[in-house]
Amino acid sequence: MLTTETLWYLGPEATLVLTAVVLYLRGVFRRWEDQPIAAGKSLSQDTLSLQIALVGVVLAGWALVRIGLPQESVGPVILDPLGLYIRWLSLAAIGLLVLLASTDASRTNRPEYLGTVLLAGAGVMAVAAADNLVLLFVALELVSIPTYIVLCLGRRDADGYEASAKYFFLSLAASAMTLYGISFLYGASGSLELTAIRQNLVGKLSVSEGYFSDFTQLGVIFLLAGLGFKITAAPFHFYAPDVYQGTSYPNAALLSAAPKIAGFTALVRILIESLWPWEQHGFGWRVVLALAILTMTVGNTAALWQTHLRRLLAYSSVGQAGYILAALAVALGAETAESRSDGLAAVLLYLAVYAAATIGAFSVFEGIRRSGRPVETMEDLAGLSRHRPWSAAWLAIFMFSLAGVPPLAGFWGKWAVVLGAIQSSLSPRTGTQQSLWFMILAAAVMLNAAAAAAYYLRVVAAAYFRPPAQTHTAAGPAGPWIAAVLCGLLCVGIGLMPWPLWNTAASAVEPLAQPGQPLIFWDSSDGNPELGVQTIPAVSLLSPEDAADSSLVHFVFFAPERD
Amino acid sequence: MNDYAFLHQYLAVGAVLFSIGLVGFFTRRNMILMFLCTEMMLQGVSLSLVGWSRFYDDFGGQMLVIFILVVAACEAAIGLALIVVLYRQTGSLDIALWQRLREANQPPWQEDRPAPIPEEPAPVWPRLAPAGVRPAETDETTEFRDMV
Repeated sequence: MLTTETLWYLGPEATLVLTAVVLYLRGVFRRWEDQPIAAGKSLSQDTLSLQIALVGVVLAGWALVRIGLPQESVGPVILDPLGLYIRWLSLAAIGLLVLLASTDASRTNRPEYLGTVLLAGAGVMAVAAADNLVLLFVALELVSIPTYIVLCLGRRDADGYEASAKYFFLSLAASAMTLYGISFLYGASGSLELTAIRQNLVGKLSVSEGYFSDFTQLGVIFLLAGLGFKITAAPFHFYAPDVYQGTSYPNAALLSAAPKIAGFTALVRILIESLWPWEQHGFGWRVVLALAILTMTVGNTAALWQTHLRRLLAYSSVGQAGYILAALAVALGAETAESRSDGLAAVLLYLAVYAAATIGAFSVFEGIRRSGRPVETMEDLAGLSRHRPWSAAWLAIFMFSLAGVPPLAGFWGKWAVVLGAIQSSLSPRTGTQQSLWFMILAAAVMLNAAAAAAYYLRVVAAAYFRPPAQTHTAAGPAGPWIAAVLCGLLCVGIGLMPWPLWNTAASAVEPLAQPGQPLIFWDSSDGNPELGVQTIPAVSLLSPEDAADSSLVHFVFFAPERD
Repeated sequence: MNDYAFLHQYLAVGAVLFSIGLVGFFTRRNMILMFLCTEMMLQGVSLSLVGWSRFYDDFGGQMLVIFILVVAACEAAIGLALIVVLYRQTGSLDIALWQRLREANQPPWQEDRPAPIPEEPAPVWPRLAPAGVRPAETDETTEFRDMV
C-alpha cells in the first residue's frame, strides 16, 4: 500500500526533484542581464545554480542517511542493501556530473540543465528503490526523458540535434520493448511485485510448466532487448558512438554513467530477484553470456580504429558493459550461493570503478581547451603533457584504470569478473557444458582486456609522446577539474584499498544470493497469513544425480506474522 | 475469469499492434510517423496488459496502462518539440537527412534524392519579451519617482 511512509522512504529522490524545481524557477526568474551577451566574452559563471544543485545533492545524501536500512519493503519501495549501494553510487555520480557540467556549452540554460541532470539522477536512485514493475518502469523513464532534454540543451548545433534525434527515437523503441517484456512477466506470474513474481512463478512452474515458462522466456528476451539499449549491449549499441560524438563531454559522461547504472540495477532486480526459481531452467545465463561475449568483442574491436575521443570512449563503454554482463552471466548461471554472491558483487564493484574512471576521463577532456576549442580528436591531445602536465597525468590514470592496469581500481573490477567466472567454472556443482562456457567467458574477458589496452594506451601515448603543435589551456571554471581530481583519488584509492568497497558490495548482494531465503510463502488468500506448503524445483540444492531421481522436493515454510 | 480463449485473442491483437509498430518504426523515414509507430507499439503492450489483467482478475496491469499513457504523453511533448527543432534545421521531416555522424570513411546511406539542406541561415522567429528587465527610464518616470 502506498502510504506517507513510502514517500518518506523516497525522500532522496524527492529532494533531488524539488531541487530541480527550484533550479527551473531560478531559470525563469533570473535577471536577463546576467546572461552572456555573446560567446567569447567573459561569461558569467552563474555559480548560484551550481551551488543550489550541489546543496540538493548533499541534502539527498542526508535524507539517505536518515532513512538508514530498515530492510523492509514498503509498498512499491524496497529498502535493501543492494538498493542502498546503488543509491549511494548514483548520488555520488550525479554530484560529479553536476560539477562536470559547470562548464557546459550552452550557458544560457545552465539552471535548467543542472535541474534536468538532477532529475535523471533521481530516476537512477528510484530504479534502485523499486520493488514493483510499475515503479521500475516509471523510474527508467525518469532516467530517459531528462536525458533527451539534456542532449538538446547541452549542445546546440546540427551535430547536437542529430545526436538528440538518434537517441530519442531509439530510446522510445527500447522503452516499448522493455514494457512488452514487463507485460509478459506480468502475464507469466500474475503480479507486478518483484517478490510476488518470484513466489507466483515457483507455484506456476511446478503446475503447468511449459505455458508460463514460454511467456517468461519471451519476457526475458524483450527485457534484455530494451534494457540492452540502456546498457549499450552489443546488438543494441549502434546509437552510442554517434550520440557520444555529436554531444558534449558532460552529456557523454551522463550517458555513460546514468543509464548504465539504472539498466544493470533493473536487470539484477528482475533476473536475479524475481526470476531466480525460473532461472534454474538455465535459459537466462546462456543469453546473457552470449550477449556479454558479443558486447565486449564488438566494443573493443571497433574502438581500435577510432581517432575521435568521444567515439573511442563510446566504444570503450560498450566494451566495459560487456565485462559487467559477464559478471551478471556468472551470477545467473551459478549453482552455489557463494558463486552467485561473487558474480553479483563483481557487478556492483565494476559499476563503481567504471563510473569513477569514465566520468573522470570525460572531466579531463572537458577541462582542457586547445586554441579556445574543446579537444575532439587524438591529434588535439598532442603535447598535453608539456602544457598541462597534471591533466595528462590524471588522463593516464583514468585510461590505465579503464584498461585494468594493476595498481588502479579498474584492475579489481576485471579481477572480480574473471575470478568469479573461473571459480564458478571449477565448482564441482557446475555441469560440464556450463563449466566449459564459463571458462570460455573468462578467456574472452582476459583477451578483450588485453586488446582494449591497445587503444587506451594510444590515448596516453598521444598525450605524452606526440610533438606539440598548439598550446592547451584550462577551460575556465574549476568544476571539471575538481570532478577529475575526485575521480582520480577514487581510482587510486580503490586500487590501493579495494577491500572496503568489495566487502560493501559483497554484503549488499548477500540477501539476493541466498537461494532459500526469499522463498517464504504467504498464503494470504483468505486475508490472514497462515502455514503455506510450497513445491519448488530444488535442482540447486541437490547434486545432479539426486535431482534426476527426485526433481521436485517438498518444503514447508512457516509464514511469519505480517506486521 | 481464467478464460484462456479470450486471453489469446487479447494477446494476439496486442502482438499484431506491437509488430506493426515495430516494422513501421524500422521502415518509415518521416519522423512524426516513426513517433506514431512507437505509440502503436505502446498500445499493443497496453492491450496485452489489459488482457492479462482481466485473465488474473487483478488491477495491477490496468494501473500500469494508466502509467504508460502518462509517460507516453510526456514523451510526445518532448518528441514533438524535438521534431520541430529538427524541422527548422533542414526544412524536412525526413530522418535520413541526419547522417552527418557516422563512422569515419563510411559512405553515406544512399538516398533517392539529394538532401535539401538550405544554405541560408535559419529564419528569425518572434520571441517573447525578456523577463526581469528594468524598463527604460524616461524623464517623466525619473521626475515623478520621488513623489510616489
